[in-house]
Amino acid sequence: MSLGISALIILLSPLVGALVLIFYKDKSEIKSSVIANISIFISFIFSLMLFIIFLFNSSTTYNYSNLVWFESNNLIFTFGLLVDSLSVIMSFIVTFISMFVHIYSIGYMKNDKSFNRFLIYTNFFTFSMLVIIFSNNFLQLFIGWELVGLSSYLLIGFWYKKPTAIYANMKAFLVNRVGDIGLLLGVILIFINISSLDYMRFFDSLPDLSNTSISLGSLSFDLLPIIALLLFTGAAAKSAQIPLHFWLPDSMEGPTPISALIHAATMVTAGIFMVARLSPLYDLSAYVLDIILFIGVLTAFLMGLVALVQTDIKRIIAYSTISQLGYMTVSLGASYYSFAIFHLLTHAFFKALLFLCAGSIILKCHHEQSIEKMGGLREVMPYTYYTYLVGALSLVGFPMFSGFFSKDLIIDLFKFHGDYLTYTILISGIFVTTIYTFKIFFKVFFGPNKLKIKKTDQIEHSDVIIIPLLGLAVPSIVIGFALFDSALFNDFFKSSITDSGRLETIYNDFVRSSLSFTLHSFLTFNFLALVSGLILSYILYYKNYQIPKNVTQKLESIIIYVKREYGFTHLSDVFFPRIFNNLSNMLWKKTDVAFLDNFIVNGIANRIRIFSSSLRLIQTGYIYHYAFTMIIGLLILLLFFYNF
Amino acid sequence: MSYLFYFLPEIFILSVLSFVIVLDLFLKESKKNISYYILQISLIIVFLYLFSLLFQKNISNYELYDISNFTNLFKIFTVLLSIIIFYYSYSYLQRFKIYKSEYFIILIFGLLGMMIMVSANHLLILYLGIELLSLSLYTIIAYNRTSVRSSEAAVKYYILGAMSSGFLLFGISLLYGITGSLLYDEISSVIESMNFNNQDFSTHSIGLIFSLIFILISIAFKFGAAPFHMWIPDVYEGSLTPTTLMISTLPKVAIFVILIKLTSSIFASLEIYWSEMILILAVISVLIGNIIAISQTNIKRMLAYSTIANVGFILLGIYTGPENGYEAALFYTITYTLFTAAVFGLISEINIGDSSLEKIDDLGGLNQKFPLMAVMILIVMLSMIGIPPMLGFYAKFYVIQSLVLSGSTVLAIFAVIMTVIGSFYYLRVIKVIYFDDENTSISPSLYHLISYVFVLTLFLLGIFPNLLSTIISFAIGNL
Amino acid sequence: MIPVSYYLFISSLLFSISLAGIFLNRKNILIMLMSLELMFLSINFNFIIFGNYLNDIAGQIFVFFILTVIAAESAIGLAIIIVLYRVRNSINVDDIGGLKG
Repeated sequence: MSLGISALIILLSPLVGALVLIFYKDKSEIKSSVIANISIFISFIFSLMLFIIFLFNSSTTYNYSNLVWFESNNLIFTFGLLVDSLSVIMSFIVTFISMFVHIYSIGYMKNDKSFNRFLIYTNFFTFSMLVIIFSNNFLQLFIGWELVGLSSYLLIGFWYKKPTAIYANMKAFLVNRVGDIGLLLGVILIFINISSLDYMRFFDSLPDLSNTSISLGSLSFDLLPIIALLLFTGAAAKSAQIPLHFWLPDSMEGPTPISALIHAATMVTAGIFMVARLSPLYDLSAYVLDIILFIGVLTAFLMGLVALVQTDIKRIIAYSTISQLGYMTVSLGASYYSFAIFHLLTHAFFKALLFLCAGSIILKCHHEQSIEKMGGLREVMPYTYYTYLVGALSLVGFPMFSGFFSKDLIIDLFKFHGDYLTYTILISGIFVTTIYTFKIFFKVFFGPNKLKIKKTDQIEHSDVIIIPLLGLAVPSIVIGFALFDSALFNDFFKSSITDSGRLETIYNDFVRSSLSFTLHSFLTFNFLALVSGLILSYILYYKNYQIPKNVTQKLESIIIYVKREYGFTHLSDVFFPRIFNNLSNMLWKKTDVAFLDNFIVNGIANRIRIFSSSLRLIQTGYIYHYAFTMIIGLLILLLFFYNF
Repeated sequence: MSYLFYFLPEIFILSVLSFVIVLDLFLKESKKNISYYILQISLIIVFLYLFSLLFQKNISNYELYDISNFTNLFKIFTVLLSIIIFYYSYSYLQRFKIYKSEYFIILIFGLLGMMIMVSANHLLILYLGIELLSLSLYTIIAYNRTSVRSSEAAVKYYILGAMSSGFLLFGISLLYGITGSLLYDEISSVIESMNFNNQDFSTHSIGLIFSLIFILISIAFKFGAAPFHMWIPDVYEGSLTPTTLMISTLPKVAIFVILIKLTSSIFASLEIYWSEMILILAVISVLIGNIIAISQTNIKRMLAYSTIANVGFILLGIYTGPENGYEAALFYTITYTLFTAAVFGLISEINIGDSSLEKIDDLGGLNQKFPLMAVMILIVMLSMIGIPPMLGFYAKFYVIQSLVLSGSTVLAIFAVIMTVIGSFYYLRVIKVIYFDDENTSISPSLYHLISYVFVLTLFLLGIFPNLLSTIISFAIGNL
Repeated sequence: MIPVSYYLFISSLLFSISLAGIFLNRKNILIMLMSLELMFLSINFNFIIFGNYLNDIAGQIFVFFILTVIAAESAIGLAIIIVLYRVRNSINVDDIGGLKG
């Protein structure tokens, strides 16, 4: 039970923090941030404790579903906590990142008028994310899902006077809505079939459901793949997979700490988490896995290419996030869910780090975000320089860095299984990743100091910005190595994810141990792609030959094509809006205004109002009329029953 | 002597009352509020005593007087709500300098009446309880002696109320004549043994149906179901706001309890008849209440019509029968009572200039001046509309669900449509509070901590509706 | 011996007359009070007949209670009417119609 209580504390502490901040009169920045940080810190300490407990003993699942939320007849909705290795590791990630982002925000959001509001949103977001993580039923999952969507919406549009921010949050909201419909339909299908929303009940009844099918007209489908696909729609929207990815780059309009917390480390991984959580379902829906794999590969490679042609530092990292989420999806599609979670873990740290570095750079450059205009910052901001290097090496998967262990594992998986097409695409993905990652590196930190930012004697930023960078750099280096043997391949996920058998095979036949995996990797194509990407990037962006310009001129049409995300931008920004505009204009003028508003809504409302004012005349105010009405009522009842 | 044990709370209240009436004569004008405090404390003592009774396992039952857990829970609820109502009334009366100890003495007489009528297992005791309640209500409505509207409302309620008492007595006399008894259990077994069906037109069956109709009409009148609702708007508007608060809450629960007690004991075997009657009353009430409320400008009058509509909903729940309908109806009643208490409490705390709030438009721009107060009214209004996750949503949900389960889908659709129409007048209050121009003469009284705590508790209850529904199924299980 | 139904007929007649008296009267509110008294008398009549017919004492006892309650009720009613007369200077039924709609 103590585990349940710890989980409850983890869950509620950020909420309490948010509530205190709402009702807190004194709006001074320091006091507010202390409150917010303490609440997250408490959460983090308990998450860490649970994580360590589970590292030593991960075999048990603790499922608390004591609180009946509401019941009526045979419908019972409960609130519950599912504490197992998966939720514990996720809560560790979320609270860890959230804690550092909160500290970072003290410096980054300094002097913002709505500092208090910012902290309320972030605290609330952390709570919502934890609701998803600890939920043990679909209803709670859905509630958390909507709450993170809401907090994301609020935070993208945090600077609500900026039109682009409003555009971006609307876009994010609408795209997520599409996914939510899928998710909701999936949940409804589950509920119809097993009349319960509990995960465990659902998993238990999977064998029965695998023979069930639903019919739509004359067509008949197997039930489980449909559910899996619908739920994946939700996951794809949240985790920004093609074709529902285009909200994520725009979400960079929000403050940078938010990009680090929500749009890199935590919320966007909710989709991945959900699929991993429902691994028993996806194991039984074979062709859905192929679709997931296909989408993942597409996203991983194509979005990497888009990152290559961007110039805005945050957008590059955003596209990189989509591409990395693609890798996770690939791993889900190959039904190695643990690998996806492992990559999610390492990615959370190094991507949050990269975003915070970007934030630090942007802050130093007076909110200039284009890397073309930056340069020579190595001298000015050494901390950011080194931590960015750590993050970059981890992202490209340089051996021994965290990202290496998780990403190369996913890629090598396909070599192990002999799927060489996927393998090749993913390896070229590495190549692309390396180029754009080091493009930022060379452009920002080397070359001429175009913005004329002076070096000062003090360190580049205040402590509250430097500490999170360092705090995230450490796990970006070590956490992959640390958890590779001891957790991932030590049956850490055995009790929560169904792929432990496959994991064992791949460990015995292929990986053997972390050290041999690392040593072996120097001789693989992965490393070759990485090194060649590094060299090319060095030549293109550091040596500053004329190559980039020439290439750009020659390939202009292609680059523009890529920049438009192969037409997706057009689809999402022009094509669909136009169709919907026309459609909604028509619906608005013809149906809504003419028919619904004037005829039905206003018409009925007016009728009722007239009816109402004439009906109230019955109430004449005279006692004898009242008495008469009562007697009439009596007579009606009597007559009615005389004829009975 | 051991019989006295059954009446202990009632006896205690009565003795305190007698004591306070005498004591009050000897208090100086400035010290009169001591009576209020004594009564308030005695209520708390009664509450604690009743609460302790709840955990006693084997309470033997007395044939005349019912002290089962069901009535006990009802008493706990009424006493608890009375304490809150007393608080509101006291602060209101003090604010307008019309405090008199008699107000509270009369209120407690009413409370006593309710406790007696709910515990009654005998028609005479039921009658005495109902009369004790009614007489206190007549008096309390006329409390504001200088107001024309107050005395007019009292006269109307008095004449119609006496008439409905006449109906009740006429029904009881017929029942007595046919069955030869006044005890619930005996009457019910006699009726059951008569064993008659739809086509039976013997003197007995017609007499029984007559008595059923008369008793039901009397109860419908006290409940405020259309077409016996005419007194409600006038009385609500005419009396002081705390009086309205009292009239609109506690008697409704008591009458509801009487209704389900009678329908589940005496008239249990006549279900085919009374369910039809209740359906007619319910449909008319929901229609009339919701539609006339739309064109009201006085907030108390509007809430009066909303009460009629809510009563209709409760009757719809009762219509579906004892299995799941009673639970839904009781849940609805409790929710309605709590939120009506909250809304009238909030209204009683708002002054417009030197007088209390009457017109809806006077609330204009409350949000700009007193945002917290506005949020409280918002919560209450949203709950009354029935928007999740407020308690009001679950109340409507349970009633509609019980309608669907009992096969009357058409009625369920009707209920939903009426809810939509009903949302209009609640939303208008919200609109006035948030979007209209500020009314400068608006000034809430200083302390509303209790209101805030009360509304917040209701809000939390809405987030965990199972808490309330568990208690309610426990209560219905002990009926 | 006169059958019970005859007595019942009388009491029902009294009851109906009193009902009619309440809503037909448009002059003085005191007449309404009288009608109410008549209504309760008819009910008392009912109880006494049934008590006698059933050979049961409960009916007669009920009558005593009713009489007491009615006395109290009339007292309160008259008090309310006095209050009304003070503020309004009239107890005409047609004048009592301020609250409506």
